[in-house]
Amino acid sequence: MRKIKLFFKYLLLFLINPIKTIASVDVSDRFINYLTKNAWLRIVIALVVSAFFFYLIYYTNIL
Amino acid sequence: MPEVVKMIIDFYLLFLLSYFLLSFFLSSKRIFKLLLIALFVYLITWGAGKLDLKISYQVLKEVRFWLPLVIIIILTPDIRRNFENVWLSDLKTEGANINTEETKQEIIDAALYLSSQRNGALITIEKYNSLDAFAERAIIMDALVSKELLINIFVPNTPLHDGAVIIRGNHIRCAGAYYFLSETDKQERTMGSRHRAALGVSEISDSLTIVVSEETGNISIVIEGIMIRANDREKLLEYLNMYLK
Repeated sequence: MRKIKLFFKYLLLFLINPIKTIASVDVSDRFINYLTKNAWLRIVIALVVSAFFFYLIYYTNIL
Repeated sequence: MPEVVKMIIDFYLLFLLSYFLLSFFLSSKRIFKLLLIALFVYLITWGAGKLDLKISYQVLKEVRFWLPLVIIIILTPDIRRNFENVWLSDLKTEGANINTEETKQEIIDAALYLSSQRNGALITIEKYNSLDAFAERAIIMDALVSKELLINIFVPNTPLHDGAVIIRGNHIRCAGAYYFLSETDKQERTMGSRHRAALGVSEISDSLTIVVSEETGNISIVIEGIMIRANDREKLLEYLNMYLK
């Protein structure tokens, strides 16, 4: 219930001031540390991002 | 050159760039948050273009154009430092996870002694986030951790006693480091600047800081913006073992 309330609070704040809301998102240390420690995960994410842009550029006309 | 080979080279270069940028954006929370903001601006600009919102699109196009320059100007010192960290990250072999038992005991002995003498102290143990930004402006020591050395650093009225000691692995990286003070209102307003500094560094990094109060001799451990009282050897060792495993 608390999480649902928090979500709507964030949603409301996002509509009022999106930049401030994004800047105030509490990025977890654990998340950043996990990615910093595990190079393989960074490689996987980089591959996915590259594949995404590759697809956009070569197979669609979006970019 | 065949088209397939060109595509493979193109993909490889794109991957290298993505990997480097990802490592760079992950090197600091502030930069990561700016990445989120930049992504948001790019997304709404693209959305405004797709929905043909003429005025918004024109304005956002300008914002999108100038945004990288603004970010570079705002973050110039962080960018320089984080680029260095990204290059050097593979060379950093020592981390908090290899603090030996001996080092932990030396740190605890020093903290308990300083507490008994009511000498204020600020000892930060670096984990994965580099604290070189603070170390660069402090007195670099690169000496093995020892109880005697730590006690000596915090002798009142000596040049280094007011700043913090940063420990990396089994070495004292520097002494006399000054952190940004925390502005949190969750703690007491009467809290001293040493404790505020410990909270400040814990809010921007994953380090563990031991603070000895000059007034009361109390020992506190500060992790991730939380301050915990730990006045005895067992508690200190428990927290060090738990957090630095």
